[in-house]
Order: sequence, then C-alpha cells, then structure tokens
Amino acid sequence: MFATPRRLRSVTALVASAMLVLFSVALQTVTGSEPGAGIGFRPLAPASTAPLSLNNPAPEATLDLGPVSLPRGAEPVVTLVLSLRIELDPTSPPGTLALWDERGGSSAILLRVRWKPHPSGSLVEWDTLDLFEGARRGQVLDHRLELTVRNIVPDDWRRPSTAPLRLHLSRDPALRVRQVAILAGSGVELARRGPASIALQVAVPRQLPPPGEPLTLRLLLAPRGRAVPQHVRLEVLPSPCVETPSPLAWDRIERPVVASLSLVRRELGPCTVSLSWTAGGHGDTVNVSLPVARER
Amino acid sequence: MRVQERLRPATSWNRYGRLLLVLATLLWATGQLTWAGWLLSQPPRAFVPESPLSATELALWLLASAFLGMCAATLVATNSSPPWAALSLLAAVAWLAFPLRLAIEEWLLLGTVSFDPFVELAELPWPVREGWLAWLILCLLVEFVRPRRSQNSAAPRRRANAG
Repeated sequence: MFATPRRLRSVTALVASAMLVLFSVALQTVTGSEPGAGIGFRPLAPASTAPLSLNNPAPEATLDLGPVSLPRGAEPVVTLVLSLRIELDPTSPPGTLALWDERGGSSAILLRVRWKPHPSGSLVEWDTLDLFEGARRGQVLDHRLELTVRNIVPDDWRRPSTAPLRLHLSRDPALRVRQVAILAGSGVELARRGPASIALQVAVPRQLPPPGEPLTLRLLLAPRGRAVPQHVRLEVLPSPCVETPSPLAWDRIERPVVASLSLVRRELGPCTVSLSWTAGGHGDTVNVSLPVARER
Repeated sequence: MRVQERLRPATSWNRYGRLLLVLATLLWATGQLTWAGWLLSQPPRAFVPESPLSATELALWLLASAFLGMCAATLVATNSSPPWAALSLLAAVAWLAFPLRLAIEEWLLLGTVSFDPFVELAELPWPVREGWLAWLILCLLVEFVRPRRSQNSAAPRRRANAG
C-alpha cells in the first residue's frame, strides 16, 4: 500500500499500533472518564444553592424539584435517590405523613412516616419499599428524621425526556410538620446495571424417570446486577404435577454456583415447573418444561 | 491502453477500499482500547455493562480483540495481496470466541451445552462481535469474489498480448 520496504512498513505499523494502545489505555485508565454518554449521577440541585424545602406544609402539599433531563431511548437503569430531612413538631398529636415523588404521572418512591408521641420518649416510625433492599422500616427516638431512599423508576417515569419532578406530601390534618427538606446527595443516577439479581440456567435430564421416582434438575446460578446478591432463596412454586421440595438458600452468591434440585413427579404427561428466586427486594420466575416421563 | 483504463478503477478501489478498511479497523480498535482502559480503572460496578464477565475480564477481552484487529489491519496495510483466507479464519475465531467461552463455562459447571453464535451480542460494551462478523463477511466476499474478477480481466490481457 505504501512505497517503503515491507519490513519497514510492518515495523512502522506495529510501532504505531503499540503507541495507539498505550495512549488509549493509559488516557482512559488515568482519567477514568466514562466512554458512554449520559451515564453517571445528576444531582437535583447544585450544592451551592439552599436546600429545597417545605416549611409548615399544608395537609396536601407539593414541592417542585425542578426539571429532570433524561436521554431519549436510554437503555440505562434510572434510579431516583432522595435524601430527606423531616422535622415534626414535638408537641404535635400522633399522625401519619406520606411522601412520594411524581414525574410524568408516575412514582418511584413512597415513604410513610408515623409520629408516636409518648411521655417516656417520642418515636418516629418509617417504612418504604424498593427494588434494592425490599421492604425497609425503622424507628428514631427523636422528632427529626434524616433518611436516604432510592428506587429504580418505572417506565412511565422515565419516558418524557424533559419533565419536572415533584415531591408530594400528604399528612393527617392533626399532625404538625415543621419542615421537609431535600438534602445534598439527592438526584438521578443513570447506570448500566440494576439491583442484585441472578441469571438462572436449568439442565433437565434427557431420560426422565417415571412418576414417583426422584428427578434431579441441575441449576446454575450466576450473579448479575450492581451488587452481590444476598439472601438468595430459590423455591419451586406449587404445581399439580410435582411434589414441592424444600427451598434452597444462599447467604450470598459471588461466583456462579451449581445446585441440584430433586423433584418427584405425580403424572406421566408434560409438566411445567416454575422456579422462583429472590435476592433482597428483587426476584424472578423461570418456567421449566418437563417432557413426558417413561412408563414403569 | 484500453486494457489499462479498464483495470485502473479496480486498482483504485482495491487501494482506497483497503485504506478505508484499515482506518475503520483502527478506529474500531481504538474504541475497544478506550473501553478497556476505562474498565481497568475499576469503575463503579453499577456503570459496568451487564455481562457474565467481570470488569477485568471484559477489559482483557477488549484488549485481545483490539490487538487482533490491529494485527489484521497491519496485514491488510502492509501486504500487496493480504491473506484473506487466513484473515477470515481469524475473524471467525474472534467472532465465535465469546459464545464458545460461555458454552465451555456452562459445560464445565452444568454438564450441558447450548451454543448460539448470535446470542448475547449486547454483553460486550463495544460492537466487538459485530465488528468481527463484518470482517468475516468482508474477507469471505473478497476471497470468493476476487478470483472471478482476475479471470475476467485475464481475457482482455491475453488478447492485448496476442495483438
């Protein structure tokens, strides 16, 4: 292709390639900048501005958290993170407060707070639900509560590319709330991985035993998602064609693991078994079709 | 003269087509190296593409693919008649390596194999397998189309020599 001796051309090309390798890898490793566009954390408000807050809110109130811009047709996992400080009036009668976000008519986070005044020590109870940790609840021996809640947003929430995000508040009329503030650290994260999950593969033997004899399924469970799956539980959902075995459980799955599951069929005919796994607040079901078994 | 005029466009296509292929391959390899460098910087796991491979293995995979791509580009750039058959074999191996690796792991762990060459294309962050498939198709096309072209061009040349 070029008018130079062949060996010189090869050496030049190899040196150029090596320099390209060194430059590209070193630049990216040192800077650590993300190659894909849009991935990362976007805070709701700049750190320099005063925190977004509602002071002495009405029983039904709304706080505008500003527009959230999301890339169109984005594949990433969108997570809303809200860091909240809720301050109740210590002289308030007992009552309940609910907080939820809203964007495009859809919501990702719901937080319920209950105020239980008591002469020996007043109590704030809270609970929420998310795909990362499942149900979360807690108690604070104070009239102030600081909490970070996060959840993956539903499809309707992320569909509009630019739409405002609002925080809705609903409280018992008797409950007095001094302030609800959004703290620094709140924002929207665009990531490539969702919550900790499991990739489940099932190997069914070619020759199925007759009904009444045990049938062994081999299972391969591989970790997926942004974190190591913990408190993993795998069970066979009740089915008319198999006897339900006891569930399998693991504390955490860091590497792919293999397990065996013994089933006893009740019928000769085709049968579908549903295997359900859960890890934290996340789970899924895999259907396994068993063909016709042998006759005795 | 008429024969030379006929041959010139083919030579030009060969020259500029190969130059374009080399540049495109280097650009593609640079993308792989960029991703490999980022994956080696231990990024947050949430931002690493969902894959059965760890971030380090993904980076090594991309480095190896980029290196092979640059070797292929070097062969095309420095040879007047590149070994298209060998390059198509290289592209086929590179294209099938990822599903083969998954199938071997599955066989070792589960004792059963399910091999689908088109499965899980999205699990590498850069179009690595798509690029190797394009290389494979291109090399096979060149390998099978080129002899016919040389046979066609041989007839006028013989006639010119006879004249």
